[in-house]
Amino acid sequence: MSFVIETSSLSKRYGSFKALDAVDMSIRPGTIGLLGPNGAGKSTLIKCLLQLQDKDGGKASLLGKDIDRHGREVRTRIGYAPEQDCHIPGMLGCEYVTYCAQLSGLPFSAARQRAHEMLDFVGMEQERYRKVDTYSTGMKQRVKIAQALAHDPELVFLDEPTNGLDPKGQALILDLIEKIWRESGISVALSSHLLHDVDRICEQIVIISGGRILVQDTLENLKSQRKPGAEIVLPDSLERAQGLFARKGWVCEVLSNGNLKVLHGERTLNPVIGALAEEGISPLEIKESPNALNELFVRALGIGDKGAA
Amino acid sequence: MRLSSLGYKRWEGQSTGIWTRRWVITKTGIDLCLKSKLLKIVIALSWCVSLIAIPVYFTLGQMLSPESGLMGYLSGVFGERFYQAITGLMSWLLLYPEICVNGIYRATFYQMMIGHMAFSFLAVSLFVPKLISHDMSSQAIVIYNSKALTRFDYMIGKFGIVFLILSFMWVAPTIFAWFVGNLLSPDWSFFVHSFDAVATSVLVGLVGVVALSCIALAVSALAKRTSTAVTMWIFISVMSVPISVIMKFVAGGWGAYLNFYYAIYSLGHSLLNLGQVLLDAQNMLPFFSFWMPPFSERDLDTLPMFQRDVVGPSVMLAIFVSISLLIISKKVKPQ
Repeated sequence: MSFVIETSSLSKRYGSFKALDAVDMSIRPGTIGLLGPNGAGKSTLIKCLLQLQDKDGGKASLLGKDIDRHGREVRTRIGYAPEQDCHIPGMLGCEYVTYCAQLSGLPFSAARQRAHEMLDFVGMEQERYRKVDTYSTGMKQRVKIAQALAHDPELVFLDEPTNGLDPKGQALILDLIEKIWRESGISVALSSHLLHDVDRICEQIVIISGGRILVQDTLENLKSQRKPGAEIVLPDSLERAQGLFARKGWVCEVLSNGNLKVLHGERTLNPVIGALAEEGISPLEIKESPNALNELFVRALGIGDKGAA
Repeated sequence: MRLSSLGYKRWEGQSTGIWTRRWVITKTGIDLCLKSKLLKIVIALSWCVSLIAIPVYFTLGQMLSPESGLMGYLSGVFGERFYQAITGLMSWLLLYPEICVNGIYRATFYQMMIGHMAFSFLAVSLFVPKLISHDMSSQAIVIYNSKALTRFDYMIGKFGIVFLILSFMWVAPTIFAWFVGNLLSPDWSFFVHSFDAVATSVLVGLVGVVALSCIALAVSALAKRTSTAVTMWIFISVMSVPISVIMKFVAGGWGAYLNFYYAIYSLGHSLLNLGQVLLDAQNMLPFFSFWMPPFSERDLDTLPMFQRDVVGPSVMLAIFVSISLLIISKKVKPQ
């Protein structure tokens, strides 16, 4: 299978608002990060792919199969943990996961066994025998992941799985997600508005904003596209530093915050640090210019803000 | 919070078919509904309605058989003349079993229908929120739709919950009473003579159950909260009575069928056709006129017993079902 997710001109409108604007993408198996600010269209994209919402136009394939023609068949091989709570009132944790596995086509005995295995996998112990209604946010997130994995899918969509969790809980969930791909070969599409989450575990990145794909690339490529520049915080010696950089032929400018921005064109910061040391200038801080991922994400946030305004 | 060190395990097995997945929805829904003790009591009471009929059938069967234990006991208590009077009377009945046996069964099934309708209303009031309302309010509907199910599969599964519970408390006791009642009778030809009555009664029960199931699902789909679903169900059921009375005067007989319970009742009344049973008895059983004066032409035109309308309630119930299905299909989707 070459692509796990493939879309062509996928569109979705809510009235006059374009939630998805002719989205084209082709994603290979692995850990995929759908990154974008709130309201960018990440959840809508997932819902359209899973046919939870009707698309207005375009085509989409999951695991190489057209969702319009093979929707139900495709969903037997897909897992989904939605952003919001989605438990069935009155059910115990293990009953809920077993039931979800049965709905995905597992016979009862296999579903019950898988449910317990997945609850072990996500670290749910005796809590599984409590009603889901009584769970904490972290437990609900974990039981959602367990139900998404219980039928052994080939691709799993996790929509904002770290929402509402404390840093420790976030780390646990991210560890878990990383294990899903690394240990089992299940492709994971992680939707998040948190750069840190995606940066930590995803190999492929799709940045969405205003219903459009800003970029689709591997994390490695995006990180390597570094702008050869640095921002230097100096206590004094601003003119001396400007003179130094002018002699080196590096363009520099004084920023509004008083710092000096220099475009050095080198692969690392070492030449800048060395030049400053030779000149006897001691900077307070040297900040590397943001990589392409950071920059694109900041740009996406900007588009998102404009859209919201 | 400790993350388990256990690894992920793959599953290699044969997936179940779509009907099995629909059945899973139905079975799980029934289990959740039956957690209510009150519902179990209502179901038991509904069964009592039919179980009461069994002694009636037993007594009838015993009286028709001269060698039966009951007749032997009665003749011992009341004397030989009583025995001869009863056997004489019953021999007339045996000459016309298609009227007498069938008529008695129709009359009891008619009473059962009224009882089952009342208990069905109570039962639906108890579990209507657990059908779709809970899934809508808890967003569980998203989970159903993200699995290997379509909206139609979900609706079939949920329909199965209401249909099976109501069938169990309406159709099943009717069949059970008929079967056991005939099993206790000394003459097994009663099975044949009463079959028409039970078939009609089951048909009425199934139509009623299907209609109530669809309407209950629609109400459950319209309400997001438990209390709203129950209130809406009771309001629709109760308020349709005055509305149907008003509409009967405004729009004629059909207006009365706006009350879906009345529509089901009218259909049952028309199909079980007790008026015809009485007329046949009057025309064919010579002794019947001793008990009841003959019906006049005016009686046949005015007495409700002789008023039959199968088309009106059927059409109105079909409209109710169609509207309900439309509401369910519009409402049952993730928000």
